[in-house]
Amino acid sequence: MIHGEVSEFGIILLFLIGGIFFVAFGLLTARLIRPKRPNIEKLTTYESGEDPLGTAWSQFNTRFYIIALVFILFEVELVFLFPWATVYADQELMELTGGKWGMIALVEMVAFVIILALGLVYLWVKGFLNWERPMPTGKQYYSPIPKIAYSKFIKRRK
Amino acid sequence: MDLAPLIAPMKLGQETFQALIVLVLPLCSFLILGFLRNRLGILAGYLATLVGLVGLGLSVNLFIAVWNYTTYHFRTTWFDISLGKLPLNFTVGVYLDNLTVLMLVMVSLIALLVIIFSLAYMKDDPQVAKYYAFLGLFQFSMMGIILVDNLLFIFIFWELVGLSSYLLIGFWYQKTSAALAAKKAFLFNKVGDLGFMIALMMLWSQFYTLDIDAIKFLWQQASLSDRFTLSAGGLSVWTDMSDTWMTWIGIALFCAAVGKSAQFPLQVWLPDAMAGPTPVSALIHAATMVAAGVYLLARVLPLFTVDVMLVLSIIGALTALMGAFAALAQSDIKKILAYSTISQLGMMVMGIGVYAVEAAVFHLFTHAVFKAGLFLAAGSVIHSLHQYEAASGQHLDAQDTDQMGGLRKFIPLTFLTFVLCGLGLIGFPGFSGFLSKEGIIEGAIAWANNADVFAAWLIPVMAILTSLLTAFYIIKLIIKVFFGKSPQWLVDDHPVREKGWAIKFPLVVLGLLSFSIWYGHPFDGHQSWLGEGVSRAIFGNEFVPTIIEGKWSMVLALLALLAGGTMAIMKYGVDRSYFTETVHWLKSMSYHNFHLDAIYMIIFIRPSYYLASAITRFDQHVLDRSVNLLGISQVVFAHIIAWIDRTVVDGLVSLVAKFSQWFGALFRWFVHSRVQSKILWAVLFVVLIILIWIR
Amino acid sequence: MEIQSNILDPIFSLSQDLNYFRPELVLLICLFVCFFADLLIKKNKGLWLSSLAISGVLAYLWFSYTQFIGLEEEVYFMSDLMRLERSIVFVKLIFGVTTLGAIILAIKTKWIQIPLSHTGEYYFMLIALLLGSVLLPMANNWLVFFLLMEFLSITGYIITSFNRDKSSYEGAIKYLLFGAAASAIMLYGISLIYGMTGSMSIGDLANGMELDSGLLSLGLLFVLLGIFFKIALFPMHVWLPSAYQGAPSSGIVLLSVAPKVAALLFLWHLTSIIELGKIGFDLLPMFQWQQMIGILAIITMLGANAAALWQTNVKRLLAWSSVGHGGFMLAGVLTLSAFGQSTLLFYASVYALMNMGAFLLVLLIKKRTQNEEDINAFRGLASLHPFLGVLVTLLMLSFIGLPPTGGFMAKFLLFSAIWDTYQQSGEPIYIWVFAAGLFSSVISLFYYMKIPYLMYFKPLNSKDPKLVSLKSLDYLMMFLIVVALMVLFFKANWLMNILNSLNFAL
Repeated sequence: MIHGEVSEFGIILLFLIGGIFFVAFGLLTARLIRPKRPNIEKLTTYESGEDPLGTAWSQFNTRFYIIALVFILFEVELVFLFPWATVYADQELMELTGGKWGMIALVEMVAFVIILALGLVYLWVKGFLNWERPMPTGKQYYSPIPKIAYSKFIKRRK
Repeated sequence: MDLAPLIAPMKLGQETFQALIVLVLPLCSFLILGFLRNRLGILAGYLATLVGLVGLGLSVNLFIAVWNYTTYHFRTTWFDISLGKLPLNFTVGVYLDNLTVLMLVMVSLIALLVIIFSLAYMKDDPQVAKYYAFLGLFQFSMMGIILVDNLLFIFIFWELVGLSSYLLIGFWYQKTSAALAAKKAFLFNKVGDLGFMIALMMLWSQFYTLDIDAIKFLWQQASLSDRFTLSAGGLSVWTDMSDTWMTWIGIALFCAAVGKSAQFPLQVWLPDAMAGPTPVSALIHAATMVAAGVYLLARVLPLFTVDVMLVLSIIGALTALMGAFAALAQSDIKKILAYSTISQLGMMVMGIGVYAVEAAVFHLFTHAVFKAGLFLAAGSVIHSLHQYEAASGQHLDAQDTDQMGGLRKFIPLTFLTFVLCGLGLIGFPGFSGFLSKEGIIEGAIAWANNADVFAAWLIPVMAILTSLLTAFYIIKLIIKVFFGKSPQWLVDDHPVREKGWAIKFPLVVLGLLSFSIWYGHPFDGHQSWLGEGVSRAIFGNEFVPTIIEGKWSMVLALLALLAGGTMAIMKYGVDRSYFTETVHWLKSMSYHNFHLDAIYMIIFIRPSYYLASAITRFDQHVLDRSVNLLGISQVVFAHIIAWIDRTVVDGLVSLVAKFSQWFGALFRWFVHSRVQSKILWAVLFVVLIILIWIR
Repeated sequence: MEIQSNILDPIFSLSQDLNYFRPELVLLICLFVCFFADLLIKKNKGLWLSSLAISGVLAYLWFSYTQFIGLEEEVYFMSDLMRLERSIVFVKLIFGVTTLGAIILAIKTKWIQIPLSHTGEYYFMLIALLLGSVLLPMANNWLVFFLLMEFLSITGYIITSFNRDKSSYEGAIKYLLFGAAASAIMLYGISLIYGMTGSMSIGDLANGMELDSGLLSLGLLFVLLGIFFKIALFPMHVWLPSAYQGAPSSGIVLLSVAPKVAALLFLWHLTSIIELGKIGFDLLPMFQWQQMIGILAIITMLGANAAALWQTNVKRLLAWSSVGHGGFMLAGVLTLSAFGQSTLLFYASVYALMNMGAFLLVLLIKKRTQNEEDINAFRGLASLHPFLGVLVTLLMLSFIGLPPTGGFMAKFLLFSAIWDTYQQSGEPIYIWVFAAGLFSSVISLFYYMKIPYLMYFKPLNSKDPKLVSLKSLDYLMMFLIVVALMVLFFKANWLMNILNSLNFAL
């Protein structure tokens, strides 16, 4: 700092300040510019056109989590694939290593993808991807009044 | 004189190894029979016989290898008690010479015969396997005494022999007399063993080793030179080796022999020991164990000074005469033989005392044979009478000679053996006892001849008197048992008989061995190979005949024998009514063995009791009371301490315990809470840590 | 291009580097074989999988052994991402044997309530846990370290949940949540360290010390907290009792030993680097980590042993005992001497053995009473199984640290190492640790002896209809373990000689 150089943390700090400033600037200008005429319809929460009911902190079915996890897994895989693709066939590196670079990079990434694929296969074979429907067991209603009473009643109505 | 080479280890040769096997065989028999005694049953006897046979074979083999040929010695260091640089080693080893192998063969042979005899004699005993096991233990210990080269180990085996003797005398421990006799034998032996222990200590203090060879050699060197020094590992050690020391050592060693060989004044245990099984009496209390004392004396003979020899001859002669006299009035067949054994052992000790050592050892051997024969024959008589008793249902005392008579018609083989062995015992010409006993009497006469004092003639006179009495009581015994009319209880339809080869075979062997023809010239003891070989073992290779050329000694002995025999035949052979008639106090004296038991009771046992009860009273009234007082005061003190303990110490402990519990509860409390609060707590503690340590 | 060529180093030395990974590669192969076997095999699945797992671990043990013989000094490889020294290879052997024990327990105890369809996963997870544990002490890079910590944690969560019942899930979720928090803290600590030193290499830690910054200390503290979470040291121990109560016994055999010892060994590496870094500076910029760890160890030992006094559930009791033993071993880390490390590893070996025995006992008792974990299930058991009674008594003596067992030698050596360090440094914290260790051993006497007490002095609950009687074959393994513990007492030299020859950095 003394020497006028910015340290690594300084850069992070600058990013933070920049981010806050950017958001604050947008909100502030909008606030300044926009007209402000609220009504009840406008103030309700938007939820796919439905009326919001109860609290948002409700329990979700765990089956969603499995799907979400698998989804995130492959998203992360993709995230890894992009930077890999940029250096995979780097000419300079290939020359430096005498061609080994490409081979190793390919093997590593294939291994990575295969492991993830195996995971998916495992889930599939074990049946974790099946959407298990709850099997509702209908409740039998046992009336304190015997059935004969009903039939008699019906007969009498006839 | 350096000690170290004298007790240096020696290699284990083929012969010494064989000797070790002979030693260990009976032990194996003891262990196997002892552990499997409930499973083996009748097999036990045959197993013991087999082991005995193998042992005898090996012993004979050793005898052939060693006799008059060479000696073998194996020695190893057992442990050392070195003090600083001074190496003091305890050695142990096996020593084989003429004397050793002779004893070995004798013990093996008699033991085997006794075991065979027992096959029949002990057949109906429920604990027969235990019996053979004890016999094995005895034989092992006896072999140990014979074979080892070291006085300490001889002492160990000596004690083991005492133990096995105790076990065998008390074999029928249900009988009060047997249990008491076993105890008595053990205690009287202990008195002698005390002497042995003292002797060991004195020997160690003088020679710093207990190896017999080394001691003999050192003593020889010490008596040759005036200024004798002993050194071990380069350091000289104190030693005196004066005649006084050696005399006391000799007397202490003799004490051991007095106990084991039943010499005056410790001889009273032997007659009582007859409560054991008769084969045991034959093996242990006639042939082998009681001879161990004589054997020990022969082994350490060079260490004895003139004074010790004098003591030996006096005690020996006294014992011989007393034993013979006590045998006169007995009516129990085994007791007669027991007193006879005491008398003959006295003869042997006397023989050693008058320097007729080879004759004494010769007598040891011949006595072992004919006395074992006599005992087994007596056993046969008792056994057949027991059989008769069981068959006819009558009650009789099978050992009481007063109730016997005319048995020669029923048990002829036993009769023959008894007569042959009896003739051996009285020293009839042509029988083994003649050669050996004549040697001893000759030695005694020669000794008295050389002595300056006229009183020395008492010794040979006592010996000849003993000889006379021996002839008298043995012939009396034969007449009483085998001749005359059959007693009234004998009914013809249940004949008294000796049954089975197991009884007959040992009798035949021992009877035949009583002839003198086996030992060289049948009428001249000087030409016996046995005496010569023994003499070689004791005095070295030059055979020095110690017996003077005087045939009149033999004439004297024969006269005594004839006189005794004639008196007996005169008195009892013609008319049996004499049995109950004798001079009253003499008979009582003889019957009660000079009232020795009563005397010991008055002199030793009663005072001990009085002393003990006095001490007990002192103990109860003075010591106990003060101890009680101390105890009471301690209890009072303890109560005070307990109060302090409860209130102060326990209070502290329970405070700590309470604290632990409280702390644990606290520690657990935030574990039991919800996860969120757990994390919260953890974070709080982290903050605390940061506040404390991060500055 | 200087940096780039540095990055490329592992490419050239790949085959050589892989040599150092032989045991781990064997485990990896075993892992995949188990994985496929689980998917493909339909008949006799349990038999196949267990034999595959056992043969894999045996092969791993063999390779570790050859590595142990071949390795002479500390080596760095994979561009200094990893390091290896003989003490690490030694714990590989311990872990391998423990895993073997865990697998055998899992096979032997068929009454364990894991559905057959999950058995493959179970062995898979055990081996994965082993893999993570053997790799963790080898880490020489913060990122690798973090990855392995996560690897260990995740396998741990899964193993904890394997009993598939309420308490199992409860334990697992507590473990997961707490672990996630710990990971977050640790990751933050690592980022702070990176910020202060500008390097991901652990060895470069000393570079940051000259700055004399509280931030580096804070970062280190956060990392330490992550490690404490693995060792279950106060204040990061709270997840442990519930997790152990829920987890399958055979799993805890490994779970309570391997990650704990691995983290301790890593901590050893870290603290020795801190000490090395300190040497260059006159003032002591780093916080007094000995003092902090010492006090935490004291609290852990006393607290855990006191808390165990209250337990009536055997598994919870053993969980608290495990926390306590973690505290003891941490005291070993404090010594930071060659002898101290020997004693620490000795303690770890003995602890692994004892733990195996204890959870075998839990399984036996669960078999006998059909899933009863209460301590009262031991009542009067000695009258039915006197031999088991003797074994259990010996085992508990070992836990307390009384002769004639390896537990005594372990505590004795550890305490003497602490005492030595106290003599040399004269810092009072060591004497306090020493005293607390002794005191908590005394406390532990009460709850460990409760089991033999119940077995011998209380009448049998014979009315319980569910009781299944045990066969002597059931506790053969227990017998072997107890014999091994006795051997470690009577021939402690055998192990100590090996440990003393480990050629330590310090």
